Formats: sequence, structure tokens, C-alpha cells
Amino acid sequence: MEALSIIPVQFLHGLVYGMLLFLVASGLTLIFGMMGVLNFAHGALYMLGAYFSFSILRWTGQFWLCMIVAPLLVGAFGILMERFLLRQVHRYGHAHELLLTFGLAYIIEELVKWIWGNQPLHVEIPAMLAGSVQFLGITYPTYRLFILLISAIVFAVLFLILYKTRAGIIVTAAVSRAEMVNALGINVPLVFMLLFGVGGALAGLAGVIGGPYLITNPGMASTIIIDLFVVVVVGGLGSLPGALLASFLIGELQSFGILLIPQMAIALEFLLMAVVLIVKPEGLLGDKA
Amino acid sequence: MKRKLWIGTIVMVVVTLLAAPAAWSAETVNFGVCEIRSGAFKTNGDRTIWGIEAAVKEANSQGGLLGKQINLVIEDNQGKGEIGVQKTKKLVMQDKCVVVIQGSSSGVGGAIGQAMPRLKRIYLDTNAEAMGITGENFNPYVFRTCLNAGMHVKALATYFGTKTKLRKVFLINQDYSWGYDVAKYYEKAIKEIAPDTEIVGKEFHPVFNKDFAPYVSKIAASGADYVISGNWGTDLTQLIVQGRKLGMKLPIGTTFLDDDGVMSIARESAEGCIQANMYILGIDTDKARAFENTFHKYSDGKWPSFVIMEAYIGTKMFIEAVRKAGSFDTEKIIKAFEGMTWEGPIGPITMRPEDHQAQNPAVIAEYAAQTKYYDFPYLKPIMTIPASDISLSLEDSGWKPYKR
Repeated sequence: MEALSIIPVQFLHGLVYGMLLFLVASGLTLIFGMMGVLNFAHGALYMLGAYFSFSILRWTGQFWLCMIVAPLLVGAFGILMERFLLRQVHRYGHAHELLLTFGLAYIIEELVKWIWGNQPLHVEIPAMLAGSVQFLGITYPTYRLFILLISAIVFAVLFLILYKTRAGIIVTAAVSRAEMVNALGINVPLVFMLLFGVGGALAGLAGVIGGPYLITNPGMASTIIIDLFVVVVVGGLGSLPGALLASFLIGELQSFGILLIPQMAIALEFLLMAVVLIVKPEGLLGDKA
Repeated sequence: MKRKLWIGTIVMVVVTLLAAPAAWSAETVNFGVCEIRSGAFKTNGDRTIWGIEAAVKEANSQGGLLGKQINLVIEDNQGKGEIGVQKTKKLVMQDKCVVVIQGSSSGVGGAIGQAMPRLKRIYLDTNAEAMGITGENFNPYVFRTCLNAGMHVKALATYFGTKTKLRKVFLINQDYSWGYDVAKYYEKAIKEIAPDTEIVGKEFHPVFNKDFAPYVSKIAASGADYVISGNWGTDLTQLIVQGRKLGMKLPIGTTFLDDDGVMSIARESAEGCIQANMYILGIDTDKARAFENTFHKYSDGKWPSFVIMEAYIGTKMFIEAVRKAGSFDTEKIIKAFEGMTWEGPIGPITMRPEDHQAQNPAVIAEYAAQTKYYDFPYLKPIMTIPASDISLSLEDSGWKPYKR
């Protein structure tokens, strides 16, 4: 490979990883960014999506079915989690939510090990995604391009719903002016519960997509959770375009970091966070509160 | 009334539990196992224990050790050195174990090893390969029955340097002491064996790295004709699977591909990989087959892949040393173990008296689409390397004499 052609390739690698990160973080943008719930179990929900997908695939052999059913299951799990656990501690503030979800993350991880075992699992992807395509003089796995496609669709759909529909207006209003919206006759707790469900479902979808790419294993939640919070904080709390931008930046920083200053690569994302917090504490595209 | 009955039952249970070990002690001897039993590395601990259990079961079914049945006392070190030391003290002082076995972690192994001179008991390292354990931190109470990092990669260097014409190597390893040991000792060994070899790249990535694509494009850009990696677990699987999907077809020399957990995911992607270790399933000799079948029999139908065989061999060697000593006395076992030669599945293993580092032969293996062991592709042996070819001198191992 020519020395020059490594740059577009490295860019593509960074883009794909960044977009997977966005896919996982999009649900957290709703839950943490908008609702303000410090959900440390978000990584665990993502992991559940990957494991549900593994089992559905084993029973039915349909990857496409996994992409629908697994997010629904994780979404339902998220709803139950909100209704029966988080709602009970909400009034005690962030510290309680943090402790609760932190504990939940551990419990889910142990449950996953108990049900599916400690070993990483092999997830077969459909033949049409398993191959690779040739372009720019390189071989690129189709599945990585598929990740780009899915994250683009998720971004577009979420963006339209949140910012262009009545439902989206209710959600944003319920988050920032809960009492007012409640007074207008909208059931705010219900809105919150459903929002949590959607956030969970997005994590589940990310798990289905991420499992075959980053390997379905019991450590997949704990290795991604910090990155997720960095994405949401850097992007700006509750800002979907912000999360997209932050994911992109982190992906590229990592990719080019490895190319140029490999010993420092792992620190770059935190350096970015530190700089953003100093220069623009509300995040890249966040609202000034 | 009911409450009294409850209390009575509990007291009875407690008394029975407390009395039980004392009642056995007449005809049993305790071996301590201080392994990781929780968290992300539990699989490694489980496997080490399978190996130890099979060796103990085998010995017990053949009349035990010096007339006593061996009883295993297992503690969880949680993957942490200080907890490992705590549990080791408990195993020695409370359970009177004649040995403490640990293999999964070099970090924990190092800590346990350091604690042994005060406890005056033997630490048997069946799997942990960090150089320091029998090198600069050597003390006479530590015995290592597996390869160390330097010997392990010297086996790989012997293969690539003498059996192939590949001379441009890219070293990619995990960013902690093990990864650095692999890179350092591979470089040293290959410069001796094939001095015209060029190191075209050397990278260290975080443990549990997620995306390997940026590293793979660096490997491709480096002009390497083969890759060496001491990675284990998902870091190894990811490197191989993502690398192959990105079109990197280079041979990859590995130290831990003989893990059925890794192979069950890597599958066809592992084609072109070269694996070295002190054993590999499927060696076609009567002795090796007998080893596998005996293990199979005493482990409820498991096959000794990865760390399992190392733990099995290590425990068997220790049992042999006790037999040779004719006593459970630590100092007598040390004397008997030093210089002891034991017939392993692929040849004799000698316990070097100076540093207590076993001198093992090694096996090189390559990808096999089908084996009798697993329903996914695994590995098959292609070459055995005698212990003398991969041995490191005391000086090269960084060995320092023990000062009391």
C-alpha cells in the first residue's frame, strides 16, 4: 500500500468506529442527555442487545429479525427498569440514580455470564454482508459500510422525530419544563418511560450491529461505557447532532492517533473532553443552560 | 420451639463444617489453589482448575500421594495481587496446604511468589509467563512448570527464522508488561536466529482494544511479510478476524491461539496463523495420545487445550516431586524438584535447579479446518522444538540470585 493512500483508509476506519459509537451513544443522548438520568447501565443494555441477537439468530437464523426483535426486547427491559427502579429513586437525585444503574450494570453483566457463559460468542452475519468490496484500491468489509448506513438511518429518523414532529416537541418540552407540560394534560411520567424505552431499544439495536463487529462477549459493556459518556458530554447534553459530531471526532482522533502518535492515541479522546469542557463547558453543540 | 430447632440445625451444620476438615486430615493432604474465580478472566481460572483437578483425581484414583488422598482447597484471588497474597496466607496457615498453585495471572503470580519465603511454602506457577517470576524476582520457593515469555517467543522465532524465508516482521502487542516482554524477547531471538530480519513495525495497543482497523492499515503500509502477536482473548480474536476481513492475509505468529474460546470465533480467519506453546492437541505419538486420553477420562470428557494442559502437567510434576522427596516437607520437596526430569507428552521436562524454570520442549501448530476435538476449526501440530533450542541462559532471563 502506498504511504499516501493510508490517509483515506485511516479516515474510513475512524468514521466507521465513530459511527458505531454514535449508534450506541444515541440512546444515551436521550436518557442522560435529555432526561438527565446518569444511566451507567447503558453499556449493559447494548450488551443485552448483542446477546438477545445471538439467541434469536440461533433459533431463527434470521439476522434481519434480530434487528427488529432484539431492540424491542431491550426497549421493554428499559421500560421496566424506568418504571420499577429508576422512578423510585428519581426524587433523591443523581447520586441515587448513578448508584442504582451502576449496580444494575454489574447485575446484568453477571446475568449474561450466567445465562450465556463467559466465552465470547460467534455471531454469523448474513452472506450479503459478510463479503468485502473493492474501492480506492483497497478491500473493505461490507459489514463496516453497513454500520455506516444503519447509523445514518438512525440519525435521520431520530432527528426528524425529535426536531420536526409534535411528539418530539412534547418530549423536549417534557424534559425541560416538566411541570408546565404536565399541567397541559400530558402524562409526563409516561413520556419519560417511553423515552427510556426508546433509548434502550437504540442501545439494543447497536448491540445487534456491534456484536459481530466487536465480538459478543461479557466484557463488551464495561469497555464501551466510558466512551459513551465522553461522546454525550463532548457533544453537548441532549444534542443529537452534537453526539454525532463527537463520535466522529473520537473515531478519527483514535484512528489518526494510532497512525501518528500511537503511544498517545488512547489519551486523545480524554484530552478532547478536557479541552471541550474548558473552552465550551456546555459541549460542542449543547445549549447554554 | 421452632426457633430453637432452627438454631440447633444451624449449630449442627456449622459444627459439621468445622469438624469435617479435621476429620479428613488423617488421610488427606491439602493442595491450595489461588485462582481467579470471578470477573472477566474467570474462564482462565476455570480452565487452570480443570487441569489441576484432573491431575489430582488421577493421582487419588491410583492410591493418592504418599498414602494420602489429595484434597483441593480453592480460593478466589479476584485477579488482584494483594488479595492473592491474603488468600495464599489463609491457604498456608489455616488450611495447611503443602503447595499453592496459581497460573492465570502474572501479576498475581508475582505477588504470591514474593510472599512465599516468609510462609516457607512452595508456589507452583503452572501458566503465568512473566519473566520476573523466575528471573529478577527469583526465590527458592517458586517453581514454574510452563514456558516463560522469552522461551515462548523463541519457539516462534525458531520457526519463522529457520522454516520460512519471511524476514520482515511487524510486532503488535498489548500495552502492558506481557506485551513488552513478547516484543523485546522476539526481537532478541530473531536477531540471533535470522540476523537479516528487519523489524518493520512495533505497536502496543490498549488491552481490550475494540477496533483494530487502524492498526491493520499500519501493518499493511509497513511492508511486513509476517506479524507476531502475544495477544490473548478478544484482543487476539479481533486482531485476526478484523485483519482478515480487511484483506490482511499475512501469516500471524501467536502465543495463545490454542484457546478454544478464541478459535470458536476466529474459525477460518485463523488460516495462515502459526501458534507456539509447550503443548498442542493432536500430537501423533502414543505418549501424547495417552496424555490426552487420561486427561479426558479424569475431566468428565474435556480436552486439554490452552492453559488446561499446562496446569495438568504442572500439577503432575509437583506430585512427582513430592513422591521423589518421600515427604510433604517443603525443603525436601524443593531439593527433590530441583533438577528433576519428568517425561512429558512431547519429551522430557527438566526443572532447572538455579532458577526453578522448567526447560520444556515446544510445539508449533498451524490452522486445521477439522479436528476430532471441536466442532469448529482448530489447530494441528507441525513441528516439535527441543527444549535446548528455546532455552534462555540465566543471564538472558534476567535472573538474580535470591538474597535472604
